[in-house]
Amino acid sequence: MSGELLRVTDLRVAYHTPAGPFVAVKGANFEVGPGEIVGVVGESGSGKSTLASTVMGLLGSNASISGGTVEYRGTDLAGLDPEEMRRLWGNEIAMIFQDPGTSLNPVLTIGRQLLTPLRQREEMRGQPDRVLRERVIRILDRVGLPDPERRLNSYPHEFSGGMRQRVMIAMALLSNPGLLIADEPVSALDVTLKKQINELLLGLREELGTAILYITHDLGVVAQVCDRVLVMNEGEIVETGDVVQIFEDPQHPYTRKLLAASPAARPLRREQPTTAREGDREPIVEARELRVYFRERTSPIGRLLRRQERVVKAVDGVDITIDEGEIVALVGESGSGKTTLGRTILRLQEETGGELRVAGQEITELPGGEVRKLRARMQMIFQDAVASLSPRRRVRYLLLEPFTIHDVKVDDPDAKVRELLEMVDLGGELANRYPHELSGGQARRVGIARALALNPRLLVADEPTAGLDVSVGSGIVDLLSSLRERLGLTLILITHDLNSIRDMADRVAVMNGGRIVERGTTAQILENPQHPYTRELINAVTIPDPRLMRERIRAATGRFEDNHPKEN
Amino acid sequence: MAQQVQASETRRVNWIPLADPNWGTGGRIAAVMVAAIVLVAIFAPLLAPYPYDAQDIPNRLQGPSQEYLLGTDQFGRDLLSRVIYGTRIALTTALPAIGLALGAGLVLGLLAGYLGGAIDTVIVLILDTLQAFPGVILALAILALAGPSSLVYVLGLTFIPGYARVIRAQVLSARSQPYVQAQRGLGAGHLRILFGHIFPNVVAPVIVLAAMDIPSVITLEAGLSFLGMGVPPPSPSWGVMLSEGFQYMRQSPWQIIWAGAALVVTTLSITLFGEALRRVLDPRSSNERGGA
Repeated sequence: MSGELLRVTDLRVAYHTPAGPFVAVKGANFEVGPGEIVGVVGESGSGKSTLASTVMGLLGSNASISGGTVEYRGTDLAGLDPEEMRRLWGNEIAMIFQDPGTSLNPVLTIGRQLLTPLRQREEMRGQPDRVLRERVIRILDRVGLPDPERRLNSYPHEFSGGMRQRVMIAMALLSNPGLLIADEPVSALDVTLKKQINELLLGLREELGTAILYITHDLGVVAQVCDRVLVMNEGEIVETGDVVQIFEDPQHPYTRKLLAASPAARPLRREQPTTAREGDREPIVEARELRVYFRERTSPIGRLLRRQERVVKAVDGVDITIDEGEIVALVGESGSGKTTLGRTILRLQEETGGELRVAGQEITELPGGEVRKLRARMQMIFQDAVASLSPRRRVRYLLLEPFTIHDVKVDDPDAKVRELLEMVDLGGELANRYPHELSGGQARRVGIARALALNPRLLVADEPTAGLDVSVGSGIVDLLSSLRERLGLTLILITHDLNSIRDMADRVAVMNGGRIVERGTTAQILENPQHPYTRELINAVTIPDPRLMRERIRAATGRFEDNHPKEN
Repeated sequence: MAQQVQASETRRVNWIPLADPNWGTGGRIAAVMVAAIVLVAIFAPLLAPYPYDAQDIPNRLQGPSQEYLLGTDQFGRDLLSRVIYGTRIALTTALPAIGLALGAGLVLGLLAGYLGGAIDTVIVLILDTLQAFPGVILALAILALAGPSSLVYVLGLTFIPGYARVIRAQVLSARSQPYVQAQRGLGAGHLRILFGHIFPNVVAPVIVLAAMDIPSVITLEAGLSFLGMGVPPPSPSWGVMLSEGFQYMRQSPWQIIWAGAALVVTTLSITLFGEALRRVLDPRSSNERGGA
């Protein structure tokens, strides 16, 4: 077998909309060689997912190939009948999806989900179940699922997100495919899991010689795993090249823009907060020994049997002081208790014990009505921005609601709405939109505008850039920084990505298992981490620097070679 | 994008006329049909050629003729007039009954779903008890005790649990949505959250359910009338007509044909109208159609 595995020539894909055809891919040309990992980067709407769906034959009925060819091992996919296509996708091309939670069938055990497709395979016909099971167990073991034999009988919800993604990968590998299409396989995962899954994919390529077409919006991930990169913008491949060359010597202005927008490209924050200098600092939040436990409900039968109640210690004895005008980042993986801590500070979550003072006032004992009044002064920006806006209310209504709630009279509502939208760099024409008519970045900005409507002193932002394209995310970071400067806000940032706050946060508190394991200024934490967990977090962060990323992977796996693997 | 904006602007300006593209052709036809049915009910005395109880015994059980356009029943009463008056009865029993079920179901469902705890347990227990009896048996029992004047309440009562359950489930899922959390974070009180944000989100699917249940109420009323516990005889309820016509089906099927047709047309129109209403009420539907 010589030459390429996949060859895409002048591919054009159009969606049919009531407004006429919308061309999502405008003449794509590229190849994927055997055992090669090719990254496709671009922002939402760049056509990268359409490209993947086309190769996988998963285009919806409202889309069609309007020109060009997709060839796999020299066979034009357009010329295949449905039966041949099914055989090709089952055996030669496999796909991993973004959300392992929804791509697995929740009512079937993973053993069944893995065995069923295996049984369909020709060389497996008539084989006893024992052989099939052994093979599945081997694959699960290979993708790093602990105790695979026992886990065959588990259901998807019994696995964590990272483990589910491993199961998905195992499923894709059942047929030992020549080409794996990975559509944002790690976007829904924490930094450390991201790293583990990417290491796994690299290891598999090494071992099985599987080529991977890797779709992502995260440049750091590209630097970590890809050999070659295609940069897509508005349906066109604007730049193609070796990963090191793309990152170190980008040619196209769009590639440069993408690289510049990446959070890792921002300077590390070193100066001290401007609003609160030595001497006149006033703590706005003071928590002592704060604890939040969740009790898992026991069934009546369990109680009858005096079964032990399971208690989840989400926040387990946290001391933290946040000064007026400061930006403090709470960093940790999911389940570290950072979001619970943020919500508890805002009294959106009852504490189990400990003290909590906000602006000098002990708030754990306050009655509900008083807490509600206090809410005007402390606000939250939610992680899922679109879902945090009431779906049947227009932006205008949502922005004016804080005033209604707190009986603040607004003389000219239209002017107020325009002013709030301007503050977050949005146009007044958005006022009449419904939340679902906003883009992710716009929804996030509307959420910020609503939070700022009543001039709060304290803002808690939960993953403010998660799920956004790099350029949109960096816009949000800039916006929050400038609002702090202008309004003297105190900001608590909750994130799992240390890099996203590197030029914003004054101080960082690293959380693990409900406790703060390390705290310090941003520069201290990022440059000289002390706690092993902090080091692990920093090490897992993906940075758009292929040389550094490969260095780390090599250190972690001891397998990764700089050049393409031998062809087999 | 520009299209979406335009769509939502349009919707804001005319929300009553049928200009909204979400109605669709079928929805518009259904809306016209529903309006026509309501008009027939209101102007029944003007439209009906004869009084609904005028008997013409010599011409009993006739097929359609010049004199009696749809034929006559076993007492020689004009079927057209009876079908027209029947519209009145169908709407004056079904609409208030559904209104009652919807109102009571909303209150119970919102309370149970939002407050939870002991109140939820008690409400669900009551609903379980109501649903434990087959609807017709329950209705018969109450009608036997309270007399035929309680018909509307009985019809409504049997439909309460369905609404309460649907609403409770909707509220439970809405309660954990980020937008409800966000409202709490803004300092909104329970009433504002419940009626300003949860209510508009749960009420739309229920309106559809209500529209689709109107036919079931008419059918239940017909069933009760068939069993002699519904609308008392000379009144031209479609149910009464069906049960009476049933006895003469061999000789003259016209009565059940027309009563049945009226029931089917009304049911179909209201159901399609309800479905279209849901599309129009949901601000998100413009996107679904835009093929985003």
